[in-house]
Amino acid sequence: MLKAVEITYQYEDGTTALSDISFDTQKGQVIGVIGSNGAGKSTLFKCLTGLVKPKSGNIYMEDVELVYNKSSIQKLRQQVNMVFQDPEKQIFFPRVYDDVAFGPRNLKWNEADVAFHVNLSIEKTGLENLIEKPVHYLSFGQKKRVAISGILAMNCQVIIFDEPEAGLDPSMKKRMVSIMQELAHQGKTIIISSHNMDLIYELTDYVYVLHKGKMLGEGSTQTVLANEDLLLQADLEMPWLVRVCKNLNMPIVKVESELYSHWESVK
Amino acid sequence: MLQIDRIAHSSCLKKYQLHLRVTLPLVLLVLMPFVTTFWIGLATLIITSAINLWFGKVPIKLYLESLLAPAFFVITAVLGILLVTNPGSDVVLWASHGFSLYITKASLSTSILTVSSAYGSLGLVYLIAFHTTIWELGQYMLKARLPKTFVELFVLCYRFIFILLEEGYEMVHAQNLRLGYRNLKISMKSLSLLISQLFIRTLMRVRYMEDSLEMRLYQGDFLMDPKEAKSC
Repeated sequence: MLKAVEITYQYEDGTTALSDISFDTQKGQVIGVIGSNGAGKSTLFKCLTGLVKPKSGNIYMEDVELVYNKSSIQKLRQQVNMVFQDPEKQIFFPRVYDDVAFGPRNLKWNEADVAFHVNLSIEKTGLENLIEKPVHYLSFGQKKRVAISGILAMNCQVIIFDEPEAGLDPSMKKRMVSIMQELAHQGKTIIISSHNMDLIYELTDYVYVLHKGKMLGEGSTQTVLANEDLLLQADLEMPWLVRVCKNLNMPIVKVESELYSHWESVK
Repeated sequence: MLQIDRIAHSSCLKKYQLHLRVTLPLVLLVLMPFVTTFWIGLATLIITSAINLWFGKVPIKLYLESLLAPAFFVITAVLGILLVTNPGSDVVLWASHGFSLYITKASLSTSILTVSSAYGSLGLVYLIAFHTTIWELGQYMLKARLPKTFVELFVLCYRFIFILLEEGYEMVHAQNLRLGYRNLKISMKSLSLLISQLFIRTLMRVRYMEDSLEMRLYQGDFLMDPKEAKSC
């Protein structure tokens, strides 16, 4: 569906932020993009959403090459959108409802459709009680949910979450995970970047590993995140579940409950 | 300002129509400069204060502080009216011959009228401010057919004041923790750093905002709910 073929991006000062990166959402329903700070994850997302134009290489949506004019970029963003790491950067309106409705209104939907999609996304993120609240009195977690709602309301097919759990408490993290799982269950393609390998391991089914603007590796989550050398090279670490399984010479399990089941069976 | 905003969001007068809450004080506010007797201003202040404190449940301390906020400007303005250098044929009530300053019967009555009008107007302004959120004011302006761009700017300015305040508070806390306001010299340096950093951060915010606006298909309008504007 969304595809980047051998894209290279350079900053104005000539620094290469991405070098010959290829990316394809066909490879998984929930895709992880991992890498240390400065690996190029955010730049890749900017390229995928048409915010910046790569120096070389192309972006494709439904096999149609992205042309950098207003109409095709807007068309792309109706299908591919992104939840920023810092919700403050994404919220403009003082009132929750109107901020969530900002995207749908820009799509020129009629007000009934706007209300339908806004209410649906507000319900999904559990913001019903905050709909009339001024945004500046919300907590960070609540603002994050408003930012997610604003993107969900646009009913995109591909949603990118840049560090979705950063700054959230454990219960909000759980909620965030369940929102992303539910979206994937509905058939949306989810792309996640995170430094939290446990979250990536739990949620994703395919992973791309970036390091200093280059693609170090890619593959199914269980294969990539069990490759210690690759992770060390990328300045990352293994998820705790994989580490425990490896150190105990056990088959690698995907979820915590499988670990306990295995333990019970060998006891 | 933050407290006034907080109270406006949970005002007890919200049950009354927005139209009533804003139009009535606004009309009286426009008429206030044409008042010729001081008791009208005084009565307005008493009535609006009673509504604010009794029905609106505004905390009395905050209300009195809010009334005192513009006192400096009222006093300086009134001193300019009260003290005259050439009394002419007016009845002189007090004179300071050393400075050639006089208080006349006319200047005293004008001063009293000015103070009562100013505080009567302030009571009316607070009647709006304590019980109407900026969002409701935006809707009211749309209903009053003020230019949409003006209303959008008004609402966005309000949002960004809070962003700027939050950034500013965080930086002042960080500076305070590292003893940035220990003495006057260090304070001046910290303050200048704070201002320059706020400026830089504001510019960065603009860049982030541009990205975010593009992502959400901004077409040049910050669209507000048209239904609500009609219903107020």
